[in-house]
Amino acid sequence: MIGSATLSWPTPLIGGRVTARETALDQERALERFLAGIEKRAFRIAKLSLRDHDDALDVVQDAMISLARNYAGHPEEQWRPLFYRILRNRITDYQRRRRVRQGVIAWWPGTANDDGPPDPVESAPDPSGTPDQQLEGEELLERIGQVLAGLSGRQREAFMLRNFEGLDVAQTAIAMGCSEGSVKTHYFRAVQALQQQLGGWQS
Amino acid sequence: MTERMQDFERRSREAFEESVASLDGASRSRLARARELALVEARRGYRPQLSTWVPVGAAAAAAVIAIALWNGGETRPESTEPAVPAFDQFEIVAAGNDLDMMDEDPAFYAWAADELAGDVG
Repeated sequence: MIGSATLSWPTPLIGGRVTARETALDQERALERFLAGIEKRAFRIAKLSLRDHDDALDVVQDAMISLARNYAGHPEEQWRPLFYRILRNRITDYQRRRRVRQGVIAWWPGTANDDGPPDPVESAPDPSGTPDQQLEGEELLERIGQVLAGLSGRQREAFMLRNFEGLDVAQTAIAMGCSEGSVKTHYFRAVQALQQQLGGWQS
Repeated sequence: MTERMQDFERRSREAFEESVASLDGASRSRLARARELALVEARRGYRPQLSTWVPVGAAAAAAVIAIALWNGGETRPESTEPAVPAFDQFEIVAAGNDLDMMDEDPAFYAWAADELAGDVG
């Protein structure tokens, strides 16, 4: 369980107008609206972090189920930061597992990749691109993803949650499990690094 | 935050929104299925709160059945013997007399028994 908030599912009035069934249905409809509104964005964020389509779908599904299982009774306004906190934890788990898997594969005789993992500096876009270069849509996002992959996890999270998902500083702090001051620092550094590395991308 | 950085924020946000809007059908379908699974999970999570009364109800029903069975076992078959006034028996016990006294005067007690049977019958 995340956070210290207590369950606040409205208590049904005994013999009153609001029945437990109606309350449950209202809650379910609210949760469905929330998930429908967040799932595509969450997937894009997960994909930018994991760089893998199927893994991104899996972590979003896990996060949705976990939120529904553990926090459906929490106030609706808490769902977003809680959801992104769960998603962040799932992404971290996946990345950790992937590192372990890659470590085992590299250790196993005959499976080592002689070229080693891709160099984030090499794979980053050329900062000396022409100033009038215009990147749009998927291509731009792909390049942002490449640069994000080279940033620290905290900077990446702060950037995506604040800039893409539109969480405010307080909500981002809950989602990242850190102070608001840390969020501001990580975010500023992320924007600075992205802007410098994508120097060829000018408006 | 410089103007260039703010411009970068805006453009990258627009690119993100565009990518969300243009998500392919297969991914959207898979996400919708994931949402359904989550809602099933939410329903499952809510049910125990409603079913907290189920064990209480079950215990109450079990208690009622147990009492009914107990009382049912206690019902004795109707006696075929004539009713004897309980007060007389109580008197004998309360007096603390030894029942061996019947050996002292059996004729009297036989007569008394006949009299008693005559009264009742």
